Amino acid sequence: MLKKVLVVDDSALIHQMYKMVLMRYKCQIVDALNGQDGLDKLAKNPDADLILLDINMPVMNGLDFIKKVKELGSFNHIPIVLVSTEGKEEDTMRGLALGARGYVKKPFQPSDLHLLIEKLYPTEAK
Amino acid sequence: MTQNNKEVLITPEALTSLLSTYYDGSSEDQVRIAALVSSKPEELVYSVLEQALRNDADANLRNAAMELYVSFGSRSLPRLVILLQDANEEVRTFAAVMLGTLGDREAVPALINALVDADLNVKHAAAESLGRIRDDRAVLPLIEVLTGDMWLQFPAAMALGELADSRAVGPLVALLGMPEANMPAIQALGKICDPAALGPLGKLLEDEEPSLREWTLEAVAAIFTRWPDSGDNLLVSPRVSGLLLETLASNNHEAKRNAAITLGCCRIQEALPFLAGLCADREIGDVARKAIARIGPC
Repeated sequence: MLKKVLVVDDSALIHQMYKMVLMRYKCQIVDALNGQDGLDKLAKNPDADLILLDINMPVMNGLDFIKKVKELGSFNHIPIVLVSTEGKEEDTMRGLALGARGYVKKPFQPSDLHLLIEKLYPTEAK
Repeated sequence: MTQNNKEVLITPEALTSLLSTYYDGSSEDQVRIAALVSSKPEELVYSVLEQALRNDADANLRNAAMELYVSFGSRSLPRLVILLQDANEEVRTFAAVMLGTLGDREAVPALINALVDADLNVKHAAAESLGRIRDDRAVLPLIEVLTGDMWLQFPAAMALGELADSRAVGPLVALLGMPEANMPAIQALGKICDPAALGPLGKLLEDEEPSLREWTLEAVAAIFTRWPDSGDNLLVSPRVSGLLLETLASNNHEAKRNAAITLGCCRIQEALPFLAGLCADREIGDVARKAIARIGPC
C-alpha cells in the first residue's frame, strides 16, 4: 500500500500540486526542497513507499540524490520516480540507469502519474 | 581577494570559473562572489551569466547564475525580459521564474505575454511569478487562462489567491466542481476572503474526501475571520454540522479551531455543549468562547 510519499522538488507550488494529484491515495506526503533536504527527510521517514524526484534542483540535484541513496544502501527498496522535463532525455536515461524505476515528464497529467504509481502499487488502482 | 585575482577575473573564463565555486563556500563567500562579479563590466557579467544559464551540463553553475541574476535586482530586469523570449523554452522558463523571484512590477507585462507562450512550463512559471509579484494588471489575464490545462490552471488559481481580487471569485467558484482544479480554487478563495464564496464552498464541506473538506474548512474559517457576520451566506446542512462537531473532537488543532469559528459564525446551537467543553483548551479555548458568545443562549 502507498502510505507515505517523499516528494523532492524545489517548487513549493509543485508540492501543492502533488497534494491534489495524490489525494486519491490518502497517503501522507513528506516535502523536501532539494536533494540534500530529501536525504535528511528520508532518514527521518525510512518507511516512505515512494520517492517522486525532480532532476533539476539547487544544492543537490536529483541524479546526485539517487547516487547518495544507492550509496547508503538501506533505502534501495523504495521506488524512485523521476520527474523530468521535455528535452531532458539524457538526464532521464541517466536517472533510470542509476536505479530510478520510472519517470514522468513535466508538464504531466495526473493520469500519467496515477498509471505509473498503480504499476508500482497495483493494489492502489482505482 | 588580492589585486592579482582581480586582474585575472576580468576574462569570461575566469569569471565563469569563479561562478562555478559559488556553492563551495559559506553564504559570506557567496556575497563576496556576487559583489565581485557585479563590479565587472555590464556586458561581460551578463554574457557570462547567460552562458552559465544555458549550461545543461553543470547544474550548479546554472543555479549560481540564476541566483546572481536575481541578486543584481532591477539591473537584471531588461536582460531577463529578453530571455523570456528566447528560442529555448527552458531558458524562457528560467527567466520567468527569476522575474517572479525578483518581484519587480516592471516585469508584469512581459509575464502576462508569457501566459500564452507555446510551452506549458513557461506558462506555468509565468503564472506562478505573477502571483508572487501581486500586481492588479495580472488579474484578468490569469482569469482567462483558468480554463486551460491543469498545469497552467493550478498556478493561475493560486496566483489569483495571492492577488486577492474579488473579480476572480466567480471564475474560481466554477473550478470547485473539477477534481483537477478544486484544491487551488479552494485555497485561492480562502485568500480572497469574499463572503460570496461561502455558499459554493459549503458544498465541499461535506465532500467524501477528508483532505478536500479540511482545505475547504480552512478557507471558510479564513473568510469568517475577516467577515464574522456573514454566517447567513453559508447554509449548514445536518451532515456538515455533524462533520464540524466531529472535527471539534479531533486531534488536529488547526481544524478544530476552524470548525469552532465556522460553527460560531453560523450560529449552530447544537455546537454549544461541545464548544463549552473546549473553553479550557489551551490552544482553542479563546476561539471556543468567542463562538459561544456569537451563538448566544439556547
